[in-house]
Amino acid sequence: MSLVLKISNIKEEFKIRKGIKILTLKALRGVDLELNEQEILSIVGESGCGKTTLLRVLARIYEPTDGVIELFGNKVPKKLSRSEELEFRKNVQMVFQDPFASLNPTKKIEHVLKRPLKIHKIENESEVIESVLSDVELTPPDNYLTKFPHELSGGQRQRVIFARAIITKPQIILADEPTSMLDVSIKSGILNLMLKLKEEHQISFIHVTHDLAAAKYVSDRITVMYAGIIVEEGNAKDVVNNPLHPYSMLLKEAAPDPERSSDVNMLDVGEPPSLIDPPPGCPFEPRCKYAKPECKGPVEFREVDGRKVRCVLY
Amino acid sequence: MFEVINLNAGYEFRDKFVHAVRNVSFKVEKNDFFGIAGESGCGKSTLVLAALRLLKKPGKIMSGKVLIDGKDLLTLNDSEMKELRWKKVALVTQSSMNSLNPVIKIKDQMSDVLIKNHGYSKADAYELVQKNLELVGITADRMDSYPHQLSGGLRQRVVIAMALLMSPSVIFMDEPTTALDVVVQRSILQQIQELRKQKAFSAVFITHDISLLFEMATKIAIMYGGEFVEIGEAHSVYSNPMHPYTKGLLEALPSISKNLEKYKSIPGRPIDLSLNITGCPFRERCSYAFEKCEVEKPELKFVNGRWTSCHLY
Repeated sequence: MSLVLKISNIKEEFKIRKGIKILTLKALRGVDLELNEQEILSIVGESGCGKTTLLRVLARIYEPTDGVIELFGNKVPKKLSRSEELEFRKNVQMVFQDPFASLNPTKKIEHVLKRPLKIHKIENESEVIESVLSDVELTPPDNYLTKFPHELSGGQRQRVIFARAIITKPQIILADEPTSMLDVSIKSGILNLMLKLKEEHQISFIHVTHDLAAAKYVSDRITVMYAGIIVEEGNAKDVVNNPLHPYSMLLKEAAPDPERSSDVNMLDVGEPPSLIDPPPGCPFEPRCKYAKPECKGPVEFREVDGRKVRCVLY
Repeated sequence: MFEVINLNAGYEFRDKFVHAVRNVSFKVEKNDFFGIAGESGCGKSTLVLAALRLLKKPGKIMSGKVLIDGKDLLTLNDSEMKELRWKKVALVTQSSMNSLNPVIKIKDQMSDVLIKNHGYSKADAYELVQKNLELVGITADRMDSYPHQLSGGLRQRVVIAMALLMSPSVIFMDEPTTALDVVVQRSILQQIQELRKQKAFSAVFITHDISLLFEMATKIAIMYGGEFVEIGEAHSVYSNPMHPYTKGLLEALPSISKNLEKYKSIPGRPIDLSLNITGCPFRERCSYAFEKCEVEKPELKFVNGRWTSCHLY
């Protein structure tokens, strides 16, 4: 398997003004990530852990404060020319959370799908559109082309958005919580669509979610983020079935599960630390029941049983 | 103790009527945790609002009875209703994070109802407020806070404490944890369970997060197209779903502990509630549908210890 995307030591800082003081919010504090060909990598974590910021940095919506992004082995420079930018966008597409907000309500589906073709000068418009619509299982395509977004259900809209993303034949899709706004009955349809696109179109996904169960189902690998750093990374089934980092354990215990038998006590589990002045050691230390004195110092990201964990327990 | 009988409600517009709650009946016994699950637009929130007489125009209750300790809420006059609210029934709303007034202190908005409607003195009211906040794990020094000074989880706790003020016997919760993070959600749910042990109230809990509901509820009702299609004991519904819609929902539900290879979604989209439905409302999305489903509407039947409306049984 070859790497399609590699990032190292990505940092992202935001300046916040509070009265006359200017504070620095460290949203990402040195993130390393590798994405292989034809792989779905899920990033899970609570809100505010930096998962969406990371995705936006990867999509070049935010410029990272520090760090290197490598796409297909080539370093992506900070400034790109217009044609390089286009080439980047062609290869890296995005799918957003809210299918109701990410389609222009005044344009028909046909127009929505023609835009990327015009921008990237792709020929055979109608054939390409027809084939992507059948790829996302909106058949027959003619039924959908003349419709406006409001005439479609949430699931159908999210399919249109996936169609728009794959129309440029990208190798990477960055998906930001693509199923969190959808009803249970259609959620799994979108997850299955991601699996299908991965198999049939050799697309790699970075899938940001807070739904551990969905991440377990859809992804090959899972990365758990906390307070701007990665705390655990490994094979999806392993991470969910047997989480190593105490924070991953907390996430698993918190996830709803009809088959839960034991009662865990989570009445007072604390809150994530402030990212304005994060603790120097393990950010989870104040909430962790296994905390030791050495957690206050820097904690290495170590390899344990084929996965990586940032915890002094291993 | 709390019973809804053949409730019909909906939204009336000039040219159409959206019949969102169709002949719904259910009963909540003491200490029940009654869960109502369904997709968005199936009428679950309308059901709660109608049952508590909170449905605003163009919403309208067409017929039915809502009995609490034998009294029909729908026939009471406004002052009798005011007397009952908070004391017998209370509601925790869907967007409770935003339902607190941003410019009034927590203690003042909580004591407001006690002073205005139930004749408490200010000092007594504050004392009760403090006691209830402590119940949900908020210390007394937070009483003087404004809502924006509290995190989402704390605000949700405030709203729950507020619903508990007069120790009502039934609390309705309409998606109380939907806007919260998983970890915060878990601690709020545990809080609710703890409180239920201490204060012995029944809860009617509405959500679209079905795995959560199956974990929490004692009884569960699955709602589709404005009707209950299956009502039963939560564990038995989970292990042996009878209605095809319930089966579909359970097959569509990625679970954290199961290692299922393939989850299936339910084809099609929910039925339009402004239409006059003949036959089974679910038949177009149902893989078991046969001729009878087209013509005859299935009634709720008592099969294997639970209620199901399907022609298969």
